[in-house]
Amino acid sequence: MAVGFDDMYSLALLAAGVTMVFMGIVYALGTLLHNSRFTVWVKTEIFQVFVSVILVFLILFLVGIMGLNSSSGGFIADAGWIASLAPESLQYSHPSIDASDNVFETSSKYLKNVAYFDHYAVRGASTAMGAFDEYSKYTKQPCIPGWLFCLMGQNGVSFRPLGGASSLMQAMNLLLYTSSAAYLTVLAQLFFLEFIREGLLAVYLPVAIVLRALPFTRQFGGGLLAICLALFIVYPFLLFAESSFWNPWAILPEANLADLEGGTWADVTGFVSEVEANPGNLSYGEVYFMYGDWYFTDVFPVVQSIIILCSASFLVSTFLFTFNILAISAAARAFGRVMGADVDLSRLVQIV
Amino acid sequence: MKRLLMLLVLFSLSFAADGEIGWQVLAFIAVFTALMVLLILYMFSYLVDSREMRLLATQEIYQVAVVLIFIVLFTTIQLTLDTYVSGPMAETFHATGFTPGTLIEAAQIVSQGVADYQWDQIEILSNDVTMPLGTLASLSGTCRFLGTTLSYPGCMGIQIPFSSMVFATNVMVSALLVQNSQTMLLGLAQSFFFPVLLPLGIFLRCFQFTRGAGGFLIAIAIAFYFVYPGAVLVTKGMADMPGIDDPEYPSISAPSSDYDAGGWEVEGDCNPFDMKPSYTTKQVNNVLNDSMIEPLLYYFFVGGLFTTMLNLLITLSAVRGLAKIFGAEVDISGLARIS
Repeated sequence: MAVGFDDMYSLALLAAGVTMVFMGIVYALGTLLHNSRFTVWVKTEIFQVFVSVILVFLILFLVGIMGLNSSSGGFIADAGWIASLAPESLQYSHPSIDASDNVFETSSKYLKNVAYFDHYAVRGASTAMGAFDEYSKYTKQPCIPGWLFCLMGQNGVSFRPLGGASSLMQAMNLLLYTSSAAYLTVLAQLFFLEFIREGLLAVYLPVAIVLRALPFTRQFGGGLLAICLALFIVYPFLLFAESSFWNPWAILPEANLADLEGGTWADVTGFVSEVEANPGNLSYGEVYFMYGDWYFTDVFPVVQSIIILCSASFLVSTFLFTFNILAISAAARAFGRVMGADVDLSRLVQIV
Repeated sequence: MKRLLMLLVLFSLSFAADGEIGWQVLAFIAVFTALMVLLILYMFSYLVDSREMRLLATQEIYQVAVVLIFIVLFTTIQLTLDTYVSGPMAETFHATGFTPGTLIEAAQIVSQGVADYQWDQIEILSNDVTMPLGTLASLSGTCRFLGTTLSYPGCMGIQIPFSSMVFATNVMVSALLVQNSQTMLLGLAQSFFFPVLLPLGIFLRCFQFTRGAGGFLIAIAIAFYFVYPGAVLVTKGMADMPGIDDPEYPSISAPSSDYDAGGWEVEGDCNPFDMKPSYTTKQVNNVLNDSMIEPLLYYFFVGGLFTTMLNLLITLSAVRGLAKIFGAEVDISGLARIS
């Protein structure tokens, strides 16, 4: 059912042509029956047909600017605009944003970078949770006499030297919950963007164009067109603009954007890479056969870095997402009013 | 002309990146561009002899004049706040190492100071109270002889105050999470809301069809750049007014990892073989000590969770009110969900 961009021009003109033919019939009928209402209505509708055609061509022009129409020619908004105006803004590397990427590609890559950031927030919280769980379970149990290696059973006092770490495990569980929700929110935005690019444009836009051109479905078509405009112009453009200034790594304290070494990010990624893959790197103290590098006193300071990472992921994924949804809702309402329809997308906020 | 209009939004971003040119220049560029568009429209109305178009262009030019007044007003407010308000407010709220600058910088320093204090308290509470309690609660004695086993979980009751500390740690970490988010949001307001959204909103407000969107963006920028940091400083001041002392943590003695558990003597505040309820009572009293509980409750519940939520709600109320003034009607209740 998908319609190509070149076909949309033809479809728009075809819809306009069909409407004009219908108008001609009605006008002839009105003249035959000497009914001025018919002729006035026809004149109004012919004006609306021209407005619809202009709207369609304007929308398809905007689609071309977004870079979705491969045959649109050279005038495309791309990441090079941002790079030329703000050279330090495109410091992403997971994946990197090229100057030739169009609006949708830039927005998609930006969300993937944010997802990468959130992913490490999740992994940091889960690794710390596992580490504290391990620490809390470490038990010293006596053997009396020790030279019998517990052949006489365990007598004496047993205890968990780091039993209090279970409180930190619970706290990490809370961070894991928050960061997971933020991570899933970013992934939802990513797939929403893909849906807009692959589904909304190819299916809903042609339907909206046809409905807007026909007299009896003009209001509904205008509303649908307003929704399409808000979702595939405003939403990707917001992400495109946000990619130039809202780099989550830039808000971390003491972060070196050039190579991301040192500071909060390195603390968490180093901890995750060394402990997540090999829990044997944890050390409980003077325990035989446990020669790991990460003592409890080494893991605890990383918690502060993990909290900062989770805060950043929460802010980027939840606050900005809410802001984007509000902007889409407001834009859809504004576009709808221009096209004579009342569009209310405020329910999208329920997603938050 | 198309490129100029298209690039106007992104043009702001270059200055958002290096901060060399203030928002006023961008706002005047936005207004000037809008004025050029309207003047072209006005002249075109004579070409097509359209009185309605001429009236529309005239009305919109009046709106541009209104926007110019807004720019002057915002500039005055910003200079007044930065010169006469931010420094004294920051000094009042003990922002250490702060040199007078903008209101939002003062709020960032104050907010970060609160976050640092909260982390220090979490660290102290964990090392001095929670960890020793967890260790004590895990103590148990075992005696086996010829198939008979006697267990002495004499310290199990300490699980009760330890569970309270687990809950307290969760709340404290939540408060720290929110406090860090507030600090980052202030940074976002400084780097994006004012330098980018305000000029964009001014430009959009100059035209009838986009006036609502422009008014909303202006309201967001003004509220988050002036009202939000102001709310942060004021609520911090209100939180400091009662003069609550720092928490005093009890001294809890628990066996260290070096303790030789093979003996019958147990170092610390609990001996599992004694089976005395007084061990639990002592730790419960330690946990319920007013000099620890009250300051922690105040600094984390009131000074942490409540004030951050209040700041956001105040700001969102300001957005709603300012949006109406600038000609927008936008439901922003979704942003309130974040609080």
